[in-house]
Amino acid sequence: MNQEIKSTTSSETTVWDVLHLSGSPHIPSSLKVPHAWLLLGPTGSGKRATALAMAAAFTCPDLPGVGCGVCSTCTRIISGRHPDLHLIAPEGQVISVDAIRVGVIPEAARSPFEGRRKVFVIEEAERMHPSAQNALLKTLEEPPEGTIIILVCDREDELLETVSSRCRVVHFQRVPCEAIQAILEAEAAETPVARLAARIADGDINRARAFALEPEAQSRHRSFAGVPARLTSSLEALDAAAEIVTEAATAVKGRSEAQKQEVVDLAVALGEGRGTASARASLAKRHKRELRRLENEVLNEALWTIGSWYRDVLAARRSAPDAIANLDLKADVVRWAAASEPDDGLLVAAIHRCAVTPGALARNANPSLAIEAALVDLARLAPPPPESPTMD
Amino acid sequence: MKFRCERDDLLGAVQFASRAISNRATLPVLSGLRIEANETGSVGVAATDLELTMQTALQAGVDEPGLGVVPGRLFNEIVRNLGSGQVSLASGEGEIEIASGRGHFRVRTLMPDDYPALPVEEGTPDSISVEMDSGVLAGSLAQVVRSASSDESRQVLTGVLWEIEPGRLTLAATDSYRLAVSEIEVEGGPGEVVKVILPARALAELGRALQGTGGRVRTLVRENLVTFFLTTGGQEGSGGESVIASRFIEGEFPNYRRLLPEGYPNALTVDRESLLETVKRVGLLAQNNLPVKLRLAGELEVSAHTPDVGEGQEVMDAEYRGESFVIAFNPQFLHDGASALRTKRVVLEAGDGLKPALLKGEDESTFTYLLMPVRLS
Ligand SMILES: [Zn+2]
Repeated sequence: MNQEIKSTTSSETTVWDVLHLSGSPHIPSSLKVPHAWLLLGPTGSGKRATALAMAAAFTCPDLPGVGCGVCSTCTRIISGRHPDLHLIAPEGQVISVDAIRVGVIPEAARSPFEGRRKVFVIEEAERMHPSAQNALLKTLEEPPEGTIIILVCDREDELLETVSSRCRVVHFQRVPCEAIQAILEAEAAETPVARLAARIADGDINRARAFALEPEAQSRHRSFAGVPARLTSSLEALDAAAEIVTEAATAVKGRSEAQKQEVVDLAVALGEGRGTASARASLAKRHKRELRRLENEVLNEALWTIGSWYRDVLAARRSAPDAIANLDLKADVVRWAAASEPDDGLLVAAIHRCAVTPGALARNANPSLAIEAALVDLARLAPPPPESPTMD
Repeated sequence: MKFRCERDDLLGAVQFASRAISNRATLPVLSGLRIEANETGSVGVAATDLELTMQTALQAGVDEPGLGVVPGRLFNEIVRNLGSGQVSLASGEGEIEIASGRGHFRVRTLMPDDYPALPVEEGTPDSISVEMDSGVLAGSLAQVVRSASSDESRQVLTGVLWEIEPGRLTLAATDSYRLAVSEIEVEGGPGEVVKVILPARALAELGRALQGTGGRVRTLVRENLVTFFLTTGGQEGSGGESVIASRFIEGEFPNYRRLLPEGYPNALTVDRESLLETVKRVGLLAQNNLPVKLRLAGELEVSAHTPDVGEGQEVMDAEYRGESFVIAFNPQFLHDGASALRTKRVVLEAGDGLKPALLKGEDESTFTYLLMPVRLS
């Protein structure tokens, strides 16, 4: 059972390269493999990709202990479609005790289907209901032969001490700007786009990737970055808020179209006979959760982008051009920095206002109201400096 | 992939394999049937829900070997509703075309690359192989599978233990209220005893597939699963063996032999059919998990009483050796045990009202049923 995992071999490409994790400080290298892992760190720091790479390393027949990244096993692991990889994620807000009782316990008790190991990746493990965590304890403590459990978690404090203490913990940090840029370039993004994406993503590889690879995300970003310049009055603020909410709704609508296709696919695959209701209900729950998450993500992205503008102005005043995120709008940043109003104190207050709003959204506040309130405050705190008269 | 075959052969194969399609498949591709045409002229049809894998083959005129995964239920329905006669199948980019008579159907397919590697090939040299009569195995499975537990919190008990030794296979299952043990003769076997636990659900399906096939079963125990190769009794048009595979349940099965008593002084012999009927009738008055009581004596008195509902009592002819006393059982468990036996008369051996009782066929020792009595307050 014990076997070392490694991220490199002398010459060959590995799954760690394929998932752009080579050189990552978070590769659990040359460790005896424990049965239970806890990958802990902020959103977008590469935990999920690492969990999949580990799963590939544990199961790849071609480069055992490393993962070749290209064989049928690795390919299916990476796309989450391997019978010995069990992905458990919240349905709705929580991972219920049933999800563990049905999805983990009997499966852990079975021999692997193809290889010699089976891997359970529990995503957003902090969303496990306490009863679900308790149900998992016995399996964590004495996993059946060939079972490896990887918990992926943003916030450790919501895990029971009895759960986290049974795992080998790997701490993840925000991904450095240069690393993100390198990953995006490896994924075929143009250098200027990759650089900008890395700057504005604040260590979150998912956000950077969305920005670099999706044209909609780039246009969304441009419109969000333009918001501070529009906040000349409360009325303008309400307008801008409405636009942000519309952007989120548009993104949700796009996803919901894709979901409709999934529902059709499921119906074709299963038929609509007896016994298929639970599969349909669980798909519907997952879809609803995806949409809620997506809406929240877009709104958070808006707040983060607007906040980054005020941070950039502060950075420009301190002659720290390297810290400027919105490189594409540098001229405007410099103009704001040169003006006397808003002053540093007001900029800091504005940044703070942007930073606290996502919390309100997460607590299920009415999203449009929360955004409107934030932008009205920003218009009061940090209205744009008057346009200086042009020479011509 | 392109081939022609008889609709009846195709339907037989599709219906066989479809039994392994699950409604709650975790991988979307598992809702499909995997169809593979080989240049040898055989077409394999397979499905798996990972617990249970079923594959069979049919003879066809293969024009182009290849692989496709078709949506299981829909394909099954289409083939079932075609008229008899020749069917031709051809796969194209992301779809498959089915033609029969003047009908044409085009159906979107699933990604064959996503389909798990099926455990249907031959084993490695160190795999253990035994062979047995399929009817005998089916009978033995029917005797024990029902005694497996449905309590998911103790996974090993949801399975059936297979103890394989030279010339003999012993199957055992228990839900900790009763224990069923059945022995059959086999050909071949490992040098020393090999034990594996197989999920009861997969075995129930195996039993169903074996019914009335009248052939032989070759059982191959490999590292992580057991594969059953079924040779059907030479059916027309079938392309040879069908294969059923099941994963193990990992863990240690309780040492059941220690539970079996050496022998009891008290033994009651009764007609099996009469016992079944009596327990069923009197059991109607044993509701809310209440037991039926058996007064063991020269005659067997079976009685039950449910407060606020009523009571029932019936006396049966019996032969008895020992002291007279009362022992109580869950009527369903008693009925299960008696119905698993095949002899005309059955023997109930008991120590007292608290020790587990043994139910066996008269002059027959291949099946043993151990049953915990219900303690009478
Ligand atoms: Zn590989």
